[in-house]
Amino acid sequence: MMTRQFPLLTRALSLAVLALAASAPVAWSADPIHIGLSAPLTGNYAEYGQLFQRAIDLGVEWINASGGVRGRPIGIIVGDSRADPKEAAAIAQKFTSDSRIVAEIGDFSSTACLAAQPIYDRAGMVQLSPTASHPGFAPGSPWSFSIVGTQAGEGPFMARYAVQTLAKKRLAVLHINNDWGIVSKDLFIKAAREMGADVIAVESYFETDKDFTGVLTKLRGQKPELLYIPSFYNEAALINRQREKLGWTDVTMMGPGSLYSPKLLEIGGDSVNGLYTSAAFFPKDPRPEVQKFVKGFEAKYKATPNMFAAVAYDTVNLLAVVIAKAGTDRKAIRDELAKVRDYPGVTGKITFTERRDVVKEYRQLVIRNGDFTLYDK
Amino acid sequence: MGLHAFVPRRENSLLWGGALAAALLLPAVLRSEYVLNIAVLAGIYVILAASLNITNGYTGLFSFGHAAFYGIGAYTAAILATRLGWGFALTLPAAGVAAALVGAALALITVRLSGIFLALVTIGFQEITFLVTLNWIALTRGPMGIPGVPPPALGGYELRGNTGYYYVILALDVLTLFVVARVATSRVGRAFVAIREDELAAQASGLPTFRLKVLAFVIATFFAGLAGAFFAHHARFVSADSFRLDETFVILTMLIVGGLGSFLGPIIGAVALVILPEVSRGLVEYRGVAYGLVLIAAILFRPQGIAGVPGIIQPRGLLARAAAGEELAG
Amino acid sequence: MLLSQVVNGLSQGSLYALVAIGFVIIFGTMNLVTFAHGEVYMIGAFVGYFALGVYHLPWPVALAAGMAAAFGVGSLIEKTAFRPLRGTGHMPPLLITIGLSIMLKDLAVVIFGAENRPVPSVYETTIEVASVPVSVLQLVILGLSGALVVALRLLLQSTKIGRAMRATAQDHEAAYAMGVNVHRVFNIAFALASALGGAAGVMVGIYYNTVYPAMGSTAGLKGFAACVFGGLTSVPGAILGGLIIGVVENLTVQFVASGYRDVAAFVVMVLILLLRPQGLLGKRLRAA
Repeated sequence: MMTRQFPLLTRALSLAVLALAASAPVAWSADPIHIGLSAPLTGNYAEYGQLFQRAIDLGVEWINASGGVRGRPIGIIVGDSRADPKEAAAIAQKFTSDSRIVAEIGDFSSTACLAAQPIYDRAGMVQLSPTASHPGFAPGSPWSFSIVGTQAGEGPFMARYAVQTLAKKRLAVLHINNDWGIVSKDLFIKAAREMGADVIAVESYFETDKDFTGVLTKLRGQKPELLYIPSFYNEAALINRQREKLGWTDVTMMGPGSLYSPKLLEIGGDSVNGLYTSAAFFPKDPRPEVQKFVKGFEAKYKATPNMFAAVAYDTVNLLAVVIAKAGTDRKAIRDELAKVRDYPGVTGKITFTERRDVVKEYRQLVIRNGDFTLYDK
Repeated sequence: MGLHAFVPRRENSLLWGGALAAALLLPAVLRSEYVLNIAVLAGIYVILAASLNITNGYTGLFSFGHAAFYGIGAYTAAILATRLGWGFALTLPAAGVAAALVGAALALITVRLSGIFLALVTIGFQEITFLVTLNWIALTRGPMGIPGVPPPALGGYELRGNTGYYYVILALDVLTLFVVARVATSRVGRAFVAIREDELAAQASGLPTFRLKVLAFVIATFFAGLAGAFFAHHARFVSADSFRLDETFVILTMLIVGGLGSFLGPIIGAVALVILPEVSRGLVEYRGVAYGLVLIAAILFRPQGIAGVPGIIQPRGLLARAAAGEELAG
Repeated sequence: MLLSQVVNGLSQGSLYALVAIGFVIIFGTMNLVTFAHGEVYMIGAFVGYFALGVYHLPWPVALAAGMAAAFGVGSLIEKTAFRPLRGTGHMPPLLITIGLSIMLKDLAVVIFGAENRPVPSVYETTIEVASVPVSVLQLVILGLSGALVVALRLLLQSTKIGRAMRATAQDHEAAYAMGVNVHRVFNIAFALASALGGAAGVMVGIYYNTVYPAMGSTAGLKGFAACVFGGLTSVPGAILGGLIIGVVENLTVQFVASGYRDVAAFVVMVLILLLRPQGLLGKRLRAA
């Protein structure tokens, strides 16, 4: 009755109420929605697990600051798997028994993911890995997802870069002797041969090796034009340093997106100038979501994020979007996740194939003057 | 009578029967899949620690290759199950036999060495086995591991939840501990101890020490192989990085903290050191630090272990007695 | 090609040798095995990194700092963990070193972070010797290792503490009975061995331009493998062992396959243990 007679008053009152509500701090009246994170926070792969955690914490901070998901904050429950298959399985048991946890992000290594897979599968919980690239992982269970993009995409991309863009015909490969390294090597070689190149030597190294002089000397003897190195960035830096020390400077070096990290430059120094690589995630990408992530990460952690941080960041944001749509039922989350199309992640557009992995787009990069730049030519 | 002397005998059979009954009822109490999983893991490590006890405890040999035999058992079971379709009932004994055959071969070549030399040679064997497993891709798929090992099935009914696995491992534990108890209280067991206490004297009194030491290895590795087979069908994914020297250390520390050379020691050690890292998950990055500290403290304050034979770790020699008692001047 | 691999092998081998000498000292004097040596090496390496990479001190200072830190840590470990267990045989001290190894590795991750740290380059130049590339740094490391060994020998032969160490190694009960402060000797021996490990760590950090918490894991095992060449008690044997292993590894990479590199070291170790456990130069510490 009063509102009809005093329309202006009503409007003013409404505005006042709204203003008050907007300025009040968000008081969470609901419990958090929990997501489990299984990653190596200690042990040989601690560096990567900690990157996951930092990126995810940043993502969660922003999600919660803007109201959370369905009015509830996201909470991350962390399990340190040390990238050990047995630990990952134990954590999977823990997470799936915890009714508060609606989905899981992890693990870092494919072997850890594969060990945990039967448990998430049996219990019915999404297992979303930022980095598992074993081709058998995502197809192995309807609950398993991976967003890093298998080497089935990156291998041929790099082969094209080497054989067609850079016109190299005599190739050699030095790969890390784990499941990711073997698959990367196989897919690169297959594509390269199909494009008419000769792969004249293939050597491997063990993950804790840091001396490559022996294998580099052997490869040098075969005189390849290009050496492709599927490895992590720390070893890639050492490989290049030692290559320089041996005085082997007339070979082109190339590696996949796993090399993309400021650490490669820090540890590799001058020796990595001229190295060709790729990235699905490139910090100089002008897209607003990428810049927001990079600036936020740099502000919070005083370091530029690399690919490992980027994929982890995408996983938590992706889950937030999916949970917003599907709610907190574990099965509903799985079904909604499988339907994701063209989600704008910082690592590129994310669309899950029927195998629940992602086909990514890559950019050709090269290191010039101590920095990663887009390859133009 | 100390904990170390506790062995199942007719006199205390009521006690052991009660313990078994409690173990059988555990799943009804524990309800959570996660906690049951810890119980299953403890069960696996009881077998591993108890079998290592045969060589390292009773016989006093320094074998550091136990994880390799665990791995050989696991891979044997995984390969037979995934390539030939064998079920658990067949892969289990096959794994034990495979591990025991390799154990026998290793023992035949190496038991004439003693102390630190035996330790080093078994470390070498451990590492070589790991590296060969990683590189022999045709047999083991190398770093890709062997996924898809089926769970144990009885007449078409596959094990699904941890309760089923728990009863299977409990059965295996009972079997292992039964054999260990029989060995420990038999002439062979006493011969093992005689070798540990003074090998030369044992030899002089006519014991065939070489054959006995090989036998110790065969028994120990057989059970390690059984544990491996169970692991393969439980974890359903086998990869070489589960069976490295670190894993031998885990088993060894369980044995020593629990008590070398005693019956209860491996049981206590396995249960305690499986539970410890799980309950300390809350410490996150300090978990390893805490684990290491607990280990150090345990050895410093009770070097013979919780249920260990006191005499096994007796400070010997006047230097040690001095360290234990008086202080040296200067 | 062959010569290149031999040079590579000798450089790596000299670093293995330094670690191996540490083990020999500990085993020869105290009859103990330590699995925490890799972590002491890592601590030395990190201290060296801070000195060289963060505070920009000259590399010999970094080396000294790393050795001093490792010496201190070693002395502390011996006093708190080995002394109370004197005379209890091999197992308990060995277990303690396993516990220490686990603890120190994770503590390093907590304190230093898990990432690889970049160590600045020292002596970047490479020269050609008989058309084989040899870096000046490789020569410096070989020289340094040699110098440390000579210093050690001088210590053992010509100083009072050195004589005490040799006496203790020969028969510690007798030495004790004769009034040698065996506890102090053990402590110094362990600390000295740790200092050598620390030196190896600093040099590895400089040579590979990086240090990280897990770097000690494999160093220890290769050190063991090298020791057996000297029957576990001979310093020259350990040096020879380190060099041989380095060369064998690289030749394996060249002529067999890169994946079998580490297998070669362990196969050689096992063969020596089985065929000639007293080592190729099996002599006791006192005559080293």
